[in-house]
Amino acid sequence: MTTIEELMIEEISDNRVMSGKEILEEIKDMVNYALSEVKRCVTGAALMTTLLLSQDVIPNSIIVDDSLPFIELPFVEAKGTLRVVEESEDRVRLSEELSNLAKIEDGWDNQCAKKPSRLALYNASILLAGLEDSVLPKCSFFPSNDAGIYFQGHLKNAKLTIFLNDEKMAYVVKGKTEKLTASVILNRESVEYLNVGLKKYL
Amino acid sequence: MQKITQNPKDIDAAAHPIEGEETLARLLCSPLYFNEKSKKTNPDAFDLRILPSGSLEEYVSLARIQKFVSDEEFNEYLATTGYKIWDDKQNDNNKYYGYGLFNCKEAREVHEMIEINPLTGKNKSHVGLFYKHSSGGYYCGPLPKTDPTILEVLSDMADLLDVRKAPDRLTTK
Repeated sequence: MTTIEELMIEEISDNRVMSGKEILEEIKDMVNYALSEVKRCVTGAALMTTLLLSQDVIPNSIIVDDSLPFIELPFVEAKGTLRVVEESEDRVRLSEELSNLAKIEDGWDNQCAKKPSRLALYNASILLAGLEDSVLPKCSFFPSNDAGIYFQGHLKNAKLTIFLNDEKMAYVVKGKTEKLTASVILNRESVEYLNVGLKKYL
Repeated sequence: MQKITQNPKDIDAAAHPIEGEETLARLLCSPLYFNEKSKKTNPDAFDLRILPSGSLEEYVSLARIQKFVSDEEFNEYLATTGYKIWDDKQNDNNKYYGYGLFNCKEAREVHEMIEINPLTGKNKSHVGLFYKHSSGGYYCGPLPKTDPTILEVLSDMADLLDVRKAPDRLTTK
């Protein structure tokens, strides 16, 4: 993970001549960026901890795959001392919805529907941590009968439907005249790509 | 591995086709099919399931509103079929939620893979929504929702539903 120091070194080694005001602006941007990253990591890690605890899973038993670098486990330990998180109401609501999905039992439809898998819940927590606040207001999580999770809702100019399972994230962003669809491996890059794609529908 | 059947045994090919203007109902037994806060319906309401017997569902069961001559008769259907699926005693305080109404023609317009067909057997108050596969057969069991086309179909179908709660007298059984 890139540290603030590394970011500063990267900027300083850029060899540009900058005014004092520009340097202050750069530092301000870097700090804001770093804070937003911390916020996302803490949100994701805290949510993941809640989910894992609700399923009686010991956090240390989780292996963080290299393809999923979004959540840094050390932040779980650090969350008690960091006070930069100010979560939106919708993020809190959706975190609760996800926690409730973690409590669902097999047969939740009184037939043979499976409970959401731990990996699907983990992926959903990564998705929630990565999406911009402006995407969340009219969205909800739902279980699928084959252990996956849907994330569905309406943006200002489009309908958003996402499906997550152990392996993939599929999504459909359906605007009035065009749509954006994909079926991808969920990681930081794919969530960021989705965020960029969603911007014009907000 | 997605299973496809070439000849669903329950389609009544000899029966009169379901008219486009018919209103159909999908039971939403579990409270997890509808979010009261966001007013969103779970796209899974139209997925195919693995049945308790282990067999794969070949169609989504729907009720034909026009076959019920009165509200009382429809309520009776909601009670008998709904509680056959949803047993409150097994689900603590979760109540049998209700149902969603939609227009047959609008459902068919969601995607060409959707077929709504009459079924064999004596019960003519219900029909089946089948998902046609590009090979010519029909999907069986949970649909491949990582396919964006399938995901969009399920989501659009969920959006069609005009969701109603089951009458109180049913939920206070």
